[in-house]
Amino acid sequence: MPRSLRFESSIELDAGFCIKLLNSGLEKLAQYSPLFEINVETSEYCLAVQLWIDQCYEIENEVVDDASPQVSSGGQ
Amino acid sequence: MPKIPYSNARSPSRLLTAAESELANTDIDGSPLEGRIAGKLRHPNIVSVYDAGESRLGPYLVFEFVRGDTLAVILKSKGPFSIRDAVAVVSPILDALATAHKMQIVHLDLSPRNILIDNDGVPRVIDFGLSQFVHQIPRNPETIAGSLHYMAPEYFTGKDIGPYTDVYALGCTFLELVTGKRAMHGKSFTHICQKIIAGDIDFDMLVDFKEGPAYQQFLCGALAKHIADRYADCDVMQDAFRTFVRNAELEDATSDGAAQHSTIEYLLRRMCKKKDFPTISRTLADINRLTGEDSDASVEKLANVILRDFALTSKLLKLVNSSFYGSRAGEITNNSEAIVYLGLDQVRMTANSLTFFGHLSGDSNDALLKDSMTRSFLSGLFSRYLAKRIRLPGSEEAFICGMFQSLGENLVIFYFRDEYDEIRSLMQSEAVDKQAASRSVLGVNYATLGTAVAETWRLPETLLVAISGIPDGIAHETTSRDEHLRDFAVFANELCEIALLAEQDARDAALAAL
Repeated sequence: MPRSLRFESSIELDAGFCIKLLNSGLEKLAQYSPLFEINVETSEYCLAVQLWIDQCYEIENEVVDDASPQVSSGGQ
Repeated sequence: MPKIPYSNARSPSRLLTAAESELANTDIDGSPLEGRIAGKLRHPNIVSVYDAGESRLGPYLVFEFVRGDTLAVILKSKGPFSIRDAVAVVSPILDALATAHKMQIVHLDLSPRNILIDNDGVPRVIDFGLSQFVHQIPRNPETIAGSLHYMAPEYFTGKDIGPYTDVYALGCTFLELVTGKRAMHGKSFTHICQKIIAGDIDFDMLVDFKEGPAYQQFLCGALAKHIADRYADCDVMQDAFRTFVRNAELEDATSDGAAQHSTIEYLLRRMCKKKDFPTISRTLADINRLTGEDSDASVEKLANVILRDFALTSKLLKLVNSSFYGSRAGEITNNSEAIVYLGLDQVRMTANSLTFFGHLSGDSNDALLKDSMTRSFLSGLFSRYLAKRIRLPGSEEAFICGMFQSLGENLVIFYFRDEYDEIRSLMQSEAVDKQAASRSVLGVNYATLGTAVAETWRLPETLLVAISGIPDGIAHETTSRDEHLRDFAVFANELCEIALLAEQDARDAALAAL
């Protein structure tokens, strides 16, 4: 089965949604981390996920900034 | 021709005993070579060496304790095998030696005395007392060692020893396996040597077998007197063996399933010897037995099983009182109340995840393991979210499916760290996925190992489906609830894995592919 078709009939998601999913998952993980003795602030894995999320949002913000109308600061 | 030191031997069949040679066969640094070599070899069909060193009494080796009989003893007591039965022995032994040869290790003393059939019926190679790394085999040695009837012509003609020398010894052994007679037999030491050098082998005893001619053809490639005419190593011999098996229509006698079964048994045995695997297995199996569909166990019985594990009890109560299950903070104070409040299914899932998670990462300072378990936990959360998103009933089960989907990998990180490192290295060097790499290193892939362990823990069918992963083959519509949960679990785990990639471009590409 081609890899791209494996989740076709179960999951309809785009990349943007995946990042939101990661973000909310990480928040949830932080919430329950004491129970499972996970330190989200020192876990290399949690830091890697956070970095990924941050980079995606940075790219998204850059796209939004580029698309915004330029405001002239010069006086009349 | 090298000197043959058999003067101390009662018969010329054994030139130098393995025990003698073990002590003599040391590496440059003085450590026993067998320990160094066999310690590197981890294969379900090779008896493991756990430790090697030097005591005040001399060098020592610590072997895996295996009950069973050698092929030599079995041949003597029960007589020869049919070719069909022999195939079940030859196949795993060739696999073991092919692995050794790939690692540039030669055994150099293969014979029916050094192949053990353990009490589970699994053939195992023993005694690497004369083994060598290929690049360290001495040229023109002063003395030679081995078992005369299985020694290749090059020992007596001064040619170099190599992996093909093991091939010859296996050829002799596999012929003897079905005839009950040594391939090289003679009236005296000199007579046997002459027959070996002349390549005088009697295959006549194979004529009575239906598969005899095909088996002879296979063995001829192993018993050729000239090195150039012989299989170069056991990897090549294994290919020829597969051709023989196919031509003789004996595939069912050496099915992958049987080999896989023995590999799993072997890995389970290794796990059972380590840390507290038997305890966690007992706890999980009891919980799943008492909460199974056909169980009529009381709440009290289940509460008592959970109570056996103090850490589990404490975590269960913390969790059931947390917002994870709604806000009941402080209301539930014992296991029985938790079971009544959550229900048997919920307790089963919660206890499974808490026991497993607590066991593998609870007190561990192992960052790699902790991170892997964290990844599994996050996968569980994603799976739960995906299930809730399509309003699939029992989203809590999605959580545990997501969390346990990488069971096999987490077990390997915990129990077999060397193999795990090897798998990672293979994934990078060969650009293969983790299932292929794990199969190559362990003999079974992560999914198969995880499923086998989950079965011993009596985990429910839904979890087994998720752990097995998505089967290869033609894409089909996911219809059942179990398949949906499986897809969510696999997807969540793969999404979590992408975070491990260092470069943003690589993550983008992996995400797009997902």
